[in-house]
Amino acid sequence: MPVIAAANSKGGAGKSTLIMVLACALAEHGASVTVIDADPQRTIGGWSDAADKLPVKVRYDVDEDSIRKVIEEEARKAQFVLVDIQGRASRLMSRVLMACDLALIPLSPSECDADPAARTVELIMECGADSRREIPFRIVFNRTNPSIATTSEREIIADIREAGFPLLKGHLHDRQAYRLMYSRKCSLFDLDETKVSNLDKAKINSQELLEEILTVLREGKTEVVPVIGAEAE
Amino acid sequence: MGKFSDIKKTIDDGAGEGATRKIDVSDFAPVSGSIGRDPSRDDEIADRIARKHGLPGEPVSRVKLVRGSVVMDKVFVQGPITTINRFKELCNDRGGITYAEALKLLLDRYDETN
Ligand SMILES: Nc1ncnc2c1ncn2[C@@H]1O[C@H](COP(=O)(O)OP(=O)(O)OP(=O)(O)O)[C@@H](O)[C@H]1O
Ligand SMILES: [Mg+2]
Repeated sequence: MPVIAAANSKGGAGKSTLIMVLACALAEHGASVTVIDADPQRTIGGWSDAADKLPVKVRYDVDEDSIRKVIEEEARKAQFVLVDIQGRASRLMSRVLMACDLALIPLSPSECDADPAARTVELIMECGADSRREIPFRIVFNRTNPSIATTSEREIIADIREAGFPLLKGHLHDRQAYRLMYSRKCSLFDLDETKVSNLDKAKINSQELLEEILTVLREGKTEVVPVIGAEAE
Repeated sequence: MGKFSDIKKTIDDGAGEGATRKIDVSDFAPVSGSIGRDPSRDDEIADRIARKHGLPGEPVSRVKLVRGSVVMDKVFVQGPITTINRFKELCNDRGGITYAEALKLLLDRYDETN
């Protein structure tokens, strides 16, 4: 059921990579997953078209007029629906945000990426405010080095904390495996261990991130629906 | 909603280094009806916010120009990509006329109507 979107109006922030990694990790643990590639670049669509077999279903027959219908359709069929959108704020993006249960904002740890990410957060909060429903979101650091945090990474973390925005504790690390699953057109879990350095670490990274995201989703599930005219205790 | 502190615990819990363990996802199921919100109202809100922020309606992709002729002088025009795309589409629709020809066309049309 949960509809998870990756959004960041900064191009190349890692939206498609994050979606592919999560989709593969979910499928690896037996979940049924549909990825909706709503980016006209069709990054994930291209990945699936060229792949022999993928453990997830990929749809890219969408535009801004059909996106909501397709999301609803797939949410009835799959346990998880992941939506990838383009790296530029658009009406399609706001429509997807309104439909999702969790928006993930991948963010590379460099100053010039913080600004578009902050604007994406703003947009999400505005969508939430207008619909009187909090749209859950999490910022996810992407392409970080698991062993050292750069100065700008620490500065951005401090800034996000100060603003009180939710940041996932786990990062999507910079891993060759994440590039190779795309270029070799296969699942992260179908890469050849002997030919990809640190594949095991990438898999563990993906699963830890997934677990944290599932926890966030579970918190959301127990959340109460708007308390309009709630009965007194 | 989950601030930083709410989620600190999640990953430390039983994250056995090295091993890949099974993650239980069975508590997530496809929805039976809708995802629980009103689609047309949601789109309405989404569109209002998009309008307010000037977010483009169509997917933003550059329109490729198919033209052969020569431009006689240069003007640099910067503007919203939607406008530029419309302009290029006009050039394409007219069989790949040059920007200058398209501009002349628009100016002639303008003269006619004013
Ligand atoms: N964690 C990572 N490790 C290694 N490479 C990565 C990682 N994240 C992204 N990349 C690489 O960075 C590039 C951009 O990533 P990606 O395509 O996921 O970004 P995007 O936000 O979807 O971009 P766009 O806005 O164009 O859709 C790709 O070549 C991808 O392989
Ligand atoms: Mg992408």
